[in-house]
Amino acid sequence: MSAKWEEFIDNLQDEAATLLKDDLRTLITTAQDDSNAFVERQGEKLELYLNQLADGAITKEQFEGYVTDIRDLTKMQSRKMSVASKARAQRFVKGITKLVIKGMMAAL
Amino acid sequence: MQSMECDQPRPIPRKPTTLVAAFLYLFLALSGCASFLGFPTYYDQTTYKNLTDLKAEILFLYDTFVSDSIDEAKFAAARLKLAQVYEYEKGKGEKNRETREQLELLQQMVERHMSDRVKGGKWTPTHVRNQKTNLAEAFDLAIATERLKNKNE
Repeated sequence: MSAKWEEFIDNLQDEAATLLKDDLRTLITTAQDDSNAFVERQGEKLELYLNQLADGAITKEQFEGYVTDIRDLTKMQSRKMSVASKARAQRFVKGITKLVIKGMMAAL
Repeated sequence: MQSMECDQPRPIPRKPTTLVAAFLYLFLALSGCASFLGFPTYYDQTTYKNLTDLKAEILFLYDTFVSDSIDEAKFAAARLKLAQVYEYEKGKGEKNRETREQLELLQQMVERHMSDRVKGGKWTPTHVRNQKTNLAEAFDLAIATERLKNKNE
């Protein structure tokens, strides 16, 4: 059974929108199956917004705004991941440095 | 006649200076490595407080977007606070690049939402819920990023 948003796109006269349907379905399914909670959440939201658009609960402009928000949230997530890896490396170097100082004191 | 003891190879005494030099070399290499890798700034309680306070304030502002009138003073106050928080993070320099960039994205998001309110009229319950969800997520990402940073101990 197709989702509400799929029926909505099917009913559109625009051929390009119909062609996009398969790509959209793949994108949403892939995101929702992703092991990363962030990506999964964005996939769920995208489907929610498409259903709201199909229901007429939101306008085309509002939908566009939400997609832009998802894009920016993804950029913010990438900055968070960058800090996470750098902070891990920082802890490692700090730990090693402590060991060296302790080791040096013991050797003297 | 030499004693047997003299025929035994004597162990080379370990010079403490060699050992110290080796440790110092390693220490300096690691310290150099630390600056080369560009580690992030340490966790900052002020940043954490700024972000959590601002999150609540802007979410509260969004709740007013369901009414007909627009309070320009509240818009200006939100913009000013966001700009102040941004400048605080920018002042920490290149090591704080990620948080600074997150703040830029947050500012852009709030501007987009406020512009949507001005041009598109009052928000419906669905729209306010969606906008608040995305804004809260954006703040949560910046807050979580700060919490990932190491404490300067």
